[in-house]
Amino acid sequence: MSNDAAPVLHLRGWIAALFAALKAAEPQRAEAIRRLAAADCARIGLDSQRVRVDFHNGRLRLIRLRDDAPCRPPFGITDSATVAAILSGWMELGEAVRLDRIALQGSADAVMRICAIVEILVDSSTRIPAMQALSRSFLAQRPATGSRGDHAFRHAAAARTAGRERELLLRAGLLG
Amino acid sequence: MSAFDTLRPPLPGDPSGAAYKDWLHLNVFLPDGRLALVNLSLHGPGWDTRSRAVGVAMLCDQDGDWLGGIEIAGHAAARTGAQGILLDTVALAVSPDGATLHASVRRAGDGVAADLVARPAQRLPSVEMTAAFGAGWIGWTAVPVLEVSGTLRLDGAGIVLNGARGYHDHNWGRWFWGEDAAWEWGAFMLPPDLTVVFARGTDKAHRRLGPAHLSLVCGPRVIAFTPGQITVALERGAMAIRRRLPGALAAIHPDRGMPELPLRLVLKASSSIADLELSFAARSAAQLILAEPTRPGAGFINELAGPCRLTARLDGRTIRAEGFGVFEYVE
Repeated sequence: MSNDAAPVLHLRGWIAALFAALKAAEPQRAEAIRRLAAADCARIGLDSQRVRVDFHNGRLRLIRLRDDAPCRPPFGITDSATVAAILSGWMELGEAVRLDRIALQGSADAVMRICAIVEILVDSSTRIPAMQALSRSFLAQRPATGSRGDHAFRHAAAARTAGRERELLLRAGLLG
Repeated sequence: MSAFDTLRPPLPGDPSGAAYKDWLHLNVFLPDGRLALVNLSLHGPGWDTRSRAVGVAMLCDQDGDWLGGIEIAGHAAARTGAQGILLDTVALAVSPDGATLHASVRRAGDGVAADLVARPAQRLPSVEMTAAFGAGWIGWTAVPVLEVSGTLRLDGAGIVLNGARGYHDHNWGRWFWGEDAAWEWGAFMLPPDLTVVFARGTDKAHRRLGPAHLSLVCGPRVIAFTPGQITVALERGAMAIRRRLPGALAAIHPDRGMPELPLRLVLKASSSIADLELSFAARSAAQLILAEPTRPGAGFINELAGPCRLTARLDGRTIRAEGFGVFEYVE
């Protein structure tokens, strides 16, 4: 499915537009992201596209890397199908990580800061129409078939695991 | 005069307008035990560009999976009338003559489409309630017994409905998602013509409980019980949510993926006119996460579907029935 009205953005352009929209609407949240990123850089990948992200002189700097470039940690890489499955509610984020549909690598501190940044972006997007429009446009330009996939099978497996975990916690007296 | 209520948008300059909420809700109970939900809502006033319109169309199938999806648009992008909210893929609107409620769903990506027409099955007295809710208030009217006809398409397979049972209500008011305010609500359909509707306001933890409202609709009769005549027993437990929408908000609220939900509900009521005991067992749950568009905060609406049983005494006769219901447990 393609959106003929909107220009096709590379991941780099999309991240730049997203951050610009955040900075315009909620500059304090953009500043929070800058503080979280500090002096570090990270690599982000979606499908074959790769981007290096950091802040330089207080400004967001995005460098487009070659497709499928190997990434040094810290990095986060996933694909459009996983993003579509998460956004459509057919896959939980933790499940995606567990199934290696999202690769997150780096020190514990770096990974947590990446997650915190994503949380700020998602939370802010609920209040910023421009960010929502960018996300819709971005996803519309990427293949997102089969979001439901093997959801029923995965849910049943997850439910069995959760049940065993709960029994273990109850036996250990760790659940009230 | 319309059988259905009108939207209640704030007037320009309304100091409470920022907290405006308005929504139209429709449940359809398919004869095979599946449950459909169509909900259109407005969050925030029309003059605020951050205000949202949300459309939800979902169906709980026999396996407990929740098909369908959610559309979120700017308030300005929604077409709203006095008695309707229309988005690109989900719409609910009352006919110009006020006699029927129309639901339209076009979610090809989710494999769900529908064209439904609902009309009141009985001429019942109109009831409107308003209650304090969080820092604001909430209003509620309901058309609890509907006959629903039309077609559903699920993954290409057509289902023709003719006289399926339905429930509709309209909520509106002033509150912010994320405030310490929530509710419990349920609609239960039992043959041949029995409907039980329950509701009460609570805090998010469901510890401070507001007065309960319970009505039994039996054919053309409505038996309403006063709060003192009603007892509510909830048996809670951890329940995996089958589907959480929108997925982006679910991703940043992973702690809400397996909440403590009512696995079983027992409602008892007794008056000089009637007694009843209704038990409901939650079979499957979906969660709708509604973010406050003007400030941080979110509400978590857990929709539970499952079978129910009723034993009632009315006019000296005992009624026993088994049916299907939906219970909403908001946090």
